[in-house]
Amino acid sequence: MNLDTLKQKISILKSKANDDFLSSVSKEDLDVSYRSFLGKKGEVNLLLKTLGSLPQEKRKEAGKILNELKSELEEKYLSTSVSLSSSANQERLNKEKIDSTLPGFQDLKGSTHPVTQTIKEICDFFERMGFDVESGPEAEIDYYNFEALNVPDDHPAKDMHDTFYLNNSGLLRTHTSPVQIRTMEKREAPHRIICPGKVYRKDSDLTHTPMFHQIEGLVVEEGASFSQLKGLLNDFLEDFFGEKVELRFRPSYFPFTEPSAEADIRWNKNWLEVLGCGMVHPNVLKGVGVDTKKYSGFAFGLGVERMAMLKYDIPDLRAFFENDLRFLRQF
Amino acid sequence: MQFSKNWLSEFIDISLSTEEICSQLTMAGLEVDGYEHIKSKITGNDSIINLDITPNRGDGFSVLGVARELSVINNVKLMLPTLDSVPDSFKDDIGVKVCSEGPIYFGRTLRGISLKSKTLPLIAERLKLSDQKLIDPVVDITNYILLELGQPLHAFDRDKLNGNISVRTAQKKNLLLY
Repeated sequence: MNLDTLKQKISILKSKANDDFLSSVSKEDLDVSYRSFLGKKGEVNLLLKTLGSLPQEKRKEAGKILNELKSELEEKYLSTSVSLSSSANQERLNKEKIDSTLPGFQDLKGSTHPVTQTIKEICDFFERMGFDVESGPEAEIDYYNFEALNVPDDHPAKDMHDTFYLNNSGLLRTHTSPVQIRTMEKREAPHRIICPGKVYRKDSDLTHTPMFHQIEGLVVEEGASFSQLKGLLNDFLEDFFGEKVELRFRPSYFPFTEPSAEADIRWNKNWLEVLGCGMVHPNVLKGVGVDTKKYSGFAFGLGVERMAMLKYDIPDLRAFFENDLRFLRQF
Repeated sequence: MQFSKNWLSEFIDISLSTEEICSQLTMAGLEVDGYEHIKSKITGNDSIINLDITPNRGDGFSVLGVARELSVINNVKLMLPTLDSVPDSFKDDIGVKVCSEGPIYFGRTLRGISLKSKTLPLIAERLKLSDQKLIDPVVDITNYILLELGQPLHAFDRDKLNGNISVRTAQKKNLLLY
């Protein structure tokens, strides 16, 4: 090989490299071309290896030309690389859009539990009807849970309540009725109270949980009558379900009311029990010193979960206590 | 309390469907917990009715009591069982001590009963439909009378009865053996 052929090769290589670099569409593309010309086994290095075949006096000049070529190509590579990455940046910026009108990420807000909501809804109605909300302890003594409610020790009705007894001869209240007694003890008649709260029974299956919520209502007034009770419950159920309900009263038995009834509503063609009620037994009123010649009373009790299940069409009672967020977030 | 609907025909003559009977009973305070139509080889086309009796309605704890309720609701005659008296054929003196809570106590000695004999098919079937296990003819008939008439009965083995019968209420820590 002589110097002229080398020069010729160099000029071809130069224009080829220039073209390749310029036609690169990405940094990766450019790097591939870079390696093919300036890499260890690139064409420039291959030419350098041919220097030995040149006559001694020409080698110096040829070396110089080749080095010039090398630095020229390096430069070209760098400048192409810079422009490529800046155009890539530009392209990305052009593609990306920020919608500054979107709402920001918000903290997850909790909501009230469906049982709490239902209690509130029910209490709201009765408060509008002039009732006071009252509460009492969940750990009770036999007197308030049974005896004062006309359930003596050997009464068969005690079997109707599967009671959790505590070590110190206390018990977990089996209904919210003890609150009636506590309220009537501390205040003078007349009374209009509504008592929501947790109650406990030894019972656990698809439709029963050992703890559930009840709401108890009590009215003690002059002339309180069963027809007032019927009217009140009818208004309440229509308010709660937001539509006309067909209601029927069925004779039943509770030791603390006489007469006693269970109320059913027509639900998908069937009658469905929703609450228990009755005229307060005179023994209960006498026990807390209410003048039964002057006052009469009526009371009712309903299960909160049951009401919520009907209203929100919840098939399984246990959903209330599993605290699955997918369930709770719907309320 | 659970019983076969056809059993009612011992005491009343009504041709109401099971559904009508159940709805009448429920509205009368003898709440029907459920019912099931069945076909029995002995009682024919029948239904099992299950009542949820509240503690104030002990009168509803028997087929007679349920029939009485239905007879009143439908204004039909209640046919009370007529019982022929069976004269004594021997004397067996057992003293009875009663108390104020249980002032009357009746008993009768029966002889010549074989526990190996079979309870009559109709009685056995009605007991089974009332979810009562068959034990032996003596226990079965006492259970049957309790279910049918609401009269609690107890049969003692005469050979094991030593001395007199004393009626009293339970005392503290007494266990009821049955």
